[in-house]
Amino acid sequence: MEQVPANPWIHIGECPFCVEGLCRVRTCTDASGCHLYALCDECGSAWVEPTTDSPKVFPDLDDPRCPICAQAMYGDHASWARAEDLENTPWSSEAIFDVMPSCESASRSPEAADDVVDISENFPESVDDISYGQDEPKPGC
Amino acid sequence: MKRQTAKSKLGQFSPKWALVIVCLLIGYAILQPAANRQLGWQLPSLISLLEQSAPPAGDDRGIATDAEQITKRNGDGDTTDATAADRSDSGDRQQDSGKGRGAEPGAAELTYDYLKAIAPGDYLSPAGLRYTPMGGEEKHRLDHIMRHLVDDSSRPVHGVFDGDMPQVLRWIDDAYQRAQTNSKDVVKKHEDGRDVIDVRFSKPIGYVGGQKGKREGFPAARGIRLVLEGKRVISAFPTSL
Repeated sequence: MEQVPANPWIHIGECPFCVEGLCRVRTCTDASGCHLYALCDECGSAWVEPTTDSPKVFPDLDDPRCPICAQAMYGDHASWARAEDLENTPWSSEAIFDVMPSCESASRSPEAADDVVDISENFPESVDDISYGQDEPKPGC
Repeated sequence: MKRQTAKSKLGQFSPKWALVIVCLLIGYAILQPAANRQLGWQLPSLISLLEQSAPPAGDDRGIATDAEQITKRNGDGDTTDATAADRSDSGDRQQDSGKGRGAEPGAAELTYDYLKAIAPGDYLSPAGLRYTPMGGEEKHRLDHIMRHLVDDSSRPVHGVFDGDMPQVLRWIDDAYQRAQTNSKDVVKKHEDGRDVIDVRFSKPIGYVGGQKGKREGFPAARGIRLVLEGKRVISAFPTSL
């Protein structure tokens, strides 16, 4: 399954544990469908609710698994979430959409998923950097 | 005869040139962090250069001995529980790491001139910290830490080390060892088996990058934040304390 890079950073805020990473939204799919959780891209703390005020979990270091369905955290069934993944979920109103800095702006979008789609559409379709998503967890990798 | 001549010439090495060399070294030590910061270069620090030029046999033996002692002290199995998956993917990393992670377990060679491989993909520092494989795009904690050797302007905040991996690994060990004391320069937080440890250094060891750093003129970072689970390193990066 080819993953199309999502353009904005989609997250629920700065990680309150390591105070460096972003709690970025991930999507995971199992037999019952798609579900979302947040994962700090610095220290790996995870949240199953769309707020960092909720309890966090620390995935196993040797065998990290989805905190909701317990499948492997990484694989074709899972990825960083794209804007459309949040539509019609509680995450759409809580998530922050940070525009890539090449656009020289950043925006917080606490509104509904309508804005989400617009933001996504505003982004360039090309990803010229061949290392994109390879060794640095940029959005969409 | 020629050798004696050359030796005598060395003995007559002009103080003027010695002074010039000392000035160049001082200039390098001063300008290297700024050049890395402003120009995005990755010049090695003077300290790491000097350490690399030291006789390897004695150093290697010393570090390996320390590591072995630490391994023995941790004789609770803590150092040997790498998973089969960890072991299977370590081969790829060993190939792409150049001078970095190329050491086989038991080999005398130290990874980054500092870490001892105790199992495939599992590296032990002289202070007893372990660097192990991880899930996701980066595959290994050392790769994760390596991200903090260069700025990433796409991130809201991103601590950047002013040194190369050997230097950074020494700083991390230094911070960890100081964290074992009750120094006023150490702040610890512990939750559910994980620790976040801030250790303040007397001099900057990096700077604050990312979008916040850019806005604030890349302020110096005098601290290291360690994120650990036991002795396993999850992340480490400079922070402004």
